[in-house]
Amino acid sequence: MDLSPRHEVDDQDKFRRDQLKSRRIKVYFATLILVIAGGFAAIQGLRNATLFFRNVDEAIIERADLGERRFRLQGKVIPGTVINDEGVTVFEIVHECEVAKVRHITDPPELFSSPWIPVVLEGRWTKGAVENINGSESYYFLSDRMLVKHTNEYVSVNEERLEQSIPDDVAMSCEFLRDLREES
Amino acid sequence: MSNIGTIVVGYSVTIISVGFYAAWIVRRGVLIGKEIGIGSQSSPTDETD
Amino acid sequence: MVDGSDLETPELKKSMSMTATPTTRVLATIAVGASLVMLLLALIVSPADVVQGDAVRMLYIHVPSIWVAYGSFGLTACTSGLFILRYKRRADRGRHYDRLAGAAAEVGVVFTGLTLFSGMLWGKVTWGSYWQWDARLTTTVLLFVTYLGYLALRRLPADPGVRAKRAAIMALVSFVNVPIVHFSVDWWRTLHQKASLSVGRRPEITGDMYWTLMYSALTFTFVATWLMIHRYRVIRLEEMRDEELLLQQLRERRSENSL
Repeated sequence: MDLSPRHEVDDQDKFRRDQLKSRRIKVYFATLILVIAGGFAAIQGLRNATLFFRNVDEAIIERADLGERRFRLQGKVIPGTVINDEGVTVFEIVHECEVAKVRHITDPPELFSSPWIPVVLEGRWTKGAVENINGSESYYFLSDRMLVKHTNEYVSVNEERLEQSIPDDVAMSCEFLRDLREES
Repeated sequence: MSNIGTIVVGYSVTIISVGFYAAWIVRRGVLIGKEIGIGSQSSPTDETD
Repeated sequence: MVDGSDLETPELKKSMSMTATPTTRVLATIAVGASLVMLLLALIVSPADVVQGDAVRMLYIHVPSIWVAYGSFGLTACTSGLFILRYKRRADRGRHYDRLAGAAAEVGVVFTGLTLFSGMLWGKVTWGSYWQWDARLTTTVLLFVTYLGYLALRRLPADPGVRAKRAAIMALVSFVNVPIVHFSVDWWRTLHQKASLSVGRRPEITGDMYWTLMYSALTFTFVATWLMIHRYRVIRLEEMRDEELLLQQLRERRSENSL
């Protein structure tokens, strides 16, 4: 079998080579786009993934360090604390028995109305005397973005469930929520 | 988008995408088969069935 | 080249069975039937969720999609490993494993894309946002992009044996991300909820919803299996076409030399 290179290049060969070359360029270009997309996703991920939010108790401990910085705060909304004050939604969230007063200035998502729903809020600590279910505080959380963090628990609407029941992790340990628990 | 709208879009896109992908596979098989001149008497399925 | 301009010719219509066999026809019938029953269960029979309402029905396409994608990428990794271990000893130089890996990866990419899309829609009605760069979403996008890269690598013009080896190595490396995606919700704080079902943990989904989810997963598996078998056969056809093209070029070369 003679596979030695030919000296004369005919049109068909040139056409095939051009096709291959064009295909290779396309694939290299697509690979470059994919690498850029992957790199972008990795950078975004590294920036946010490890600590997507701080829980209320951690944010209170770190309040001095956080200062005016924007961060995400997570906690469960305490039913009965939600009021609408001229377009601003004011409510309290709890995590590990630590409570934060929140003033949220944009429209909350639809599921926000569910009792004890966990929410992630974007904003910053703001100085201002407030009263919450756990006593007086000199800071509240001013938020402009709310995400509802639903759980992996799926319960049929047909099943009997006390919608107002306090989640175990809150009810079992938080003394100041005893009144709420007895009411429910 | 409402819950119902979300469900309609989600399910429709899933069904259409899988349907298109399946049709693309079958069509590609038919066209390449024709290109290389093999019919049902010489099928590429021998190794998997 | 394949352009589809003469798709309607009678011969072509007759050969529409190119990648089908009686087995795959039965599988297709089962998959279509199961899908119709799944739609009935997911959209009508199963109840709404007490918190999410009807939005919970996204669960039945979102979760099975990623399970099927995990399974497909797992198959790609297994067959790639077998390729590396056995290609020297096999008569077909491991081409069977390579085809299976390619077919499974492509199906996996399709279902990962569907997972991302259905997740975005679901996220908008529950979280209030289409997208957030939390650990689960970020690693899933990386998984999608990595396997797109794997498919691109398979299309690079190269010697089939060399290309298969490169692809097998990339498949094994890419699979590392699969457990990272799955456990990201346990390892890091995420907006995304924890896994719907985990080994050794009581399911947090009540009766009808649980069984609908299981049934949907089975349906998606039937569909993915059908897609994979047909894609495998198309890859085989593509190889036959390339081999035919090479032989033709050699024949032309020989006839030119003999002149």
